[in-house]
Amino acid sequence: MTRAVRSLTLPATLEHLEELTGMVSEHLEAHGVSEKDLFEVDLAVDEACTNVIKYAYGPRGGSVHLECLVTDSEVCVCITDSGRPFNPLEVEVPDLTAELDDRPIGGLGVHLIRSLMNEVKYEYRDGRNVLCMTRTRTDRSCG
Amino acid sequence: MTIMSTVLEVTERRQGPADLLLLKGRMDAATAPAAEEHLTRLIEGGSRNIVVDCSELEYISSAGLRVLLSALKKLKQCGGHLTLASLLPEIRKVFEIAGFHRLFAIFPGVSEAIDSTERTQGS
Repeated sequence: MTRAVRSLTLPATLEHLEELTGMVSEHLEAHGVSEKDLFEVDLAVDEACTNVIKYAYGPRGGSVHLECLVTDSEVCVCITDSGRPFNPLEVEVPDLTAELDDRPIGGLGVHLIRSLMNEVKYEYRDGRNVLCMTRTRTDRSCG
Repeated sequence: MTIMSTVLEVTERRQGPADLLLLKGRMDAATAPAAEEHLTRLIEGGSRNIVVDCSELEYISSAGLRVLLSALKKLKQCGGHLTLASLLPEIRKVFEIAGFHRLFAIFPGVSEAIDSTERTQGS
């Protein structure tokens, strides 16, 4: 049974967003994850990392740690930062049926994460935000 | 399978009654500001009909959606139109999850999007 882990720690800046999401994409591709699953995990990881980059730290900045596990049946990505405590699962779902004038600019990132991943867990542990997102692979049966 | 492009190329050109903006590559929080600059410049320069050709847009995150929504709102305020053309299926799915397919006029191809612009101007 496949069980492949890859991890990466980088400064939490927009300049590193490509490298962070690229690591996950490469790892998924190397283990035969389908293009559809790869696209949607990539997007969820992008949204979670962008939140850390934009909101976790003040001017002094900080780092973001990514850990990506691929098995035969699922993909799990955990994103850890030591910035201010923030539970993205408490963010309200935007009103997706609102007319243009009432539609706020933004607030969609967490909604995308929830929609694309099968399970999203958050905990604040030892001074760190840990967000773990799991998606069942649609290209494999279990086992 | 090939790893997707990690940059966004933005190309502008005038086509009939519309300004056409071709987005190629990946539109995320790092690259979306480049598209935003083009859209802002076009709108501030007086463009009122913008067609965004998404046929080579491989990826969009909420940061990209935000830029398109902001441009749509600005154009609507001044009586203009922003239409989208040729969304790839995975991009279309992101629009649907976000509920953006209800907000934007989306056409299968650039020519249909430009035709709709002409009809709007003629009406």
